[in-house]
Amino acid sequence: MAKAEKIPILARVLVAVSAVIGIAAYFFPLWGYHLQAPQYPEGLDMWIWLYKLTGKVDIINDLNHYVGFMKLTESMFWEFKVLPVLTGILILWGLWVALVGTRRAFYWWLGYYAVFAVFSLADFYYRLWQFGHTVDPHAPIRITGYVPPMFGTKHFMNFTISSLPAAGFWVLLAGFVVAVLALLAAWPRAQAARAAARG
Amino acid sequence: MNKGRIKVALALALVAVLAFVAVGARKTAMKLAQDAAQKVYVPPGEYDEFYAFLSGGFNGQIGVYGLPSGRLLKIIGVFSQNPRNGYGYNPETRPMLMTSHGFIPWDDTHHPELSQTNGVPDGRWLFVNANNTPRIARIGLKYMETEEIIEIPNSAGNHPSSFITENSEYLTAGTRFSVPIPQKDIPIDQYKGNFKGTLSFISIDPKTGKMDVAFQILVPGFDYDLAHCGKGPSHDWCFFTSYNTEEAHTLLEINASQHDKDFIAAVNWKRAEECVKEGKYETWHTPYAHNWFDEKKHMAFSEIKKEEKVIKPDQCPGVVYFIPTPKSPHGVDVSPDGKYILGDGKLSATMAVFSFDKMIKAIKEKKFAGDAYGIPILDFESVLDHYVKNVCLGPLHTESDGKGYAYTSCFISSEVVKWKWSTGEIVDRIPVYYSIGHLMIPGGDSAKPWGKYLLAMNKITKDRYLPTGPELNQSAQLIDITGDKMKLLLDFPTVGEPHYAQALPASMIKDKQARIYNLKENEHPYATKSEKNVKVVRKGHEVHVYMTAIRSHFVPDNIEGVKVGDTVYFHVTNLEQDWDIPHGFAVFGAPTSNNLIMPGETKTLVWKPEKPGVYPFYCTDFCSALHQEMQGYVRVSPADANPPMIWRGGGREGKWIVEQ
Repeated sequence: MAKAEKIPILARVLVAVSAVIGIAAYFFPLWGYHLQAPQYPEGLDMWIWLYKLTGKVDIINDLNHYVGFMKLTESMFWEFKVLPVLTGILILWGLWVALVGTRRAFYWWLGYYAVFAVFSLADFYYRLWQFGHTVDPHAPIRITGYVPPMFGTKHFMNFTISSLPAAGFWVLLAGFVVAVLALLAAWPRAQAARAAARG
Repeated sequence: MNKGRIKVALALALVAVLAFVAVGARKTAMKLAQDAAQKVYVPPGEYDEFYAFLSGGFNGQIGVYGLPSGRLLKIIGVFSQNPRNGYGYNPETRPMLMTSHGFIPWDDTHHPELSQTNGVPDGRWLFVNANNTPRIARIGLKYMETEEIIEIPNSAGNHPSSFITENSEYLTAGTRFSVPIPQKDIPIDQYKGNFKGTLSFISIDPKTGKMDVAFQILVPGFDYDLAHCGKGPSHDWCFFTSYNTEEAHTLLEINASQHDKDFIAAVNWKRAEECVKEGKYETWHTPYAHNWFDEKKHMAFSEIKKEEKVIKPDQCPGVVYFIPTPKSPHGVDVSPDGKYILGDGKLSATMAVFSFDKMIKAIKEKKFAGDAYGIPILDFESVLDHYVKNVCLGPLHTESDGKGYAYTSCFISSEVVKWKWSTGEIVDRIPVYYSIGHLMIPGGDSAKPWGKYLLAMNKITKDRYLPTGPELNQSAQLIDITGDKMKLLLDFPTVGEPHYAQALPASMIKDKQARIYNLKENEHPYATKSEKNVKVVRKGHEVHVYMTAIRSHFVPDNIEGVKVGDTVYFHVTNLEQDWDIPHGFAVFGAPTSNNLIMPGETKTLVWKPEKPGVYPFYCTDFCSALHQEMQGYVRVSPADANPPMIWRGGGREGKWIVEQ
């Protein structure tokens, strides 16, 4: 692989599209929780964004204190400071890759995207595990080993808790899929075949 | 076949026919009951179609009911203390019950009236009068709490109140029990000529709803009973009934029932406005209280005002005329199109329907039949449009369905009579149980009634419900008025003694109901918006506890350092921001009510402990699974002791702040 070997225009365009799609992740929540209980027929929603929590967080915190769950505040998550920057890097880097179009830069960027995705999801799961295992030992009601759902629905006391990715996540996933399409377009054998076809 | 056999066969046939008829009748009755039940059945979890606001009479409150189910939704404290939530007990709301006679914890609510735009209820405010110590209250329909009370000076027995003009320009007030005006000490038997009444117009600020006594018209000493204002062509006028034109001062039952006709006072309020502009009034200085609740500060304020514009009819010709009306009228009602005025003469079986156009013509042509204390009496025949003959016994009050029909309540014959506004033709009657006073059709006194139901509010209950000792709730009946025949749908007890009611479609105000008070916007001077900010402050013999409540604890919940001789102010802020999570607060031995504190609200309980000891306090509203644990203690030491001044709560301890 030559140092300055370029990937095809199609791949570069796809990389640019993938990067631009990522911008939408700042404008939509990544993950949504929906809590339902007999006393809350209308449900309580909480939304996790790249950089903030929205929805009925205060009410959920008030309820959580009975079982000694930690109080959710934005300041306790370093992720809210780091994730917007990591996403920004992803977008700017992607645009730069599209501009210069070298295969090496493209692979590094794609690797970054994959690591970013795996790391974020793993960190999210760790946070859920930590939430369920860091309970106030003096709480009025004692519980052990409950971990809130990441995908799907779980029952906990009087609540049915559903967790699903939200628009922001699907946007980033779409960006990743486009990036994978770019990889297919730039795949050396495919490129060689096209070059051969052109003769 | 012999004769005996024929007889037996005939008898058998008769029995069969009778049995068939009886079963049929029973089936029909059951079918009717089922139809009625279906019409008022609101399935669990679903909502009523109308909000109805019924006055509570001698309980001084307003009851909010859902129609057609008749379910009681809320009681609003208005002129009476409400121990349920502390209204009128705590320092935040005590100013609401101030008058020029001092603090009065009770009154008699009579006639609720919704604010109107273009003659139609608009869902902004509900007004209601106090009969005993003349006042009018304004209730906001977002919080459904009393927001303002204004006293009516120069009056007594504020009964022809609080009726509204078409665009909520004014509310009426008037004198049922004429008195010396201004008040003075004179023998009661010098009533005639010396006792007077006033017909007052209370202005409403269109933006804030704030009320003011705009002007008062000094009138002869009759008993002014009810009122209604004009609509459309009669927009500039309000009409007041009167009885006791005999000016009796004792045994009114007999002495005030001698004249065959009493008067409707027709007041041209536009003319009164002109006279005020032209300076044709006197400025009087009878003190009256004006009280209002500041919803941001969560606190009421009271001021005494001392200036009113009094119009004497002889100085402002054209401001008031008397229309002779059959015997001792109670209600005065205006048709939705504003063309007819009806006096419900309670001691006459015939009602007179007056024409507004004819009244204006009679005034122009000066068709007078004398005067009363200088006020022109219009010629009866010139104003009369038609009669409603043999309507019933004891007609009291009439509302409209918006389809050309009027419905009159009849106290003595205990029925509702339906008749045609334009001709006086009676088309239907239905009995009610028993002795109906007022009736109400949603929007039935407005320009556009929602003519679906009629609510009969009855004065005598007797055997309608399970008996409850000598004292019974009043009874109400809901009647379907959509068809040609009125149909009784539902019978339900009402709290207090409703004298009148108003109703509007739930959709007009349901979605603007407040669920909480926004804690961030709480400007109560003693609010504590976070547990971090709790404190106890001593200022001489005053102790101010800045306390918070959230499921399921108070901070502080231990207070030591109070001494006999101190006055303790517990300023409790409910930190919750979730719908329907109030907290209550009560202290053992405190001679006052509890406070029920809504999410985001601050309320104060004042207590002067008299004996040393340790006194528990607790949350009186079952707020959560750990509500029983929501309690605390305050230690009271002897006056000469020197206890440590400390508090505990929320896992913390603190020292008092001592200010000089």
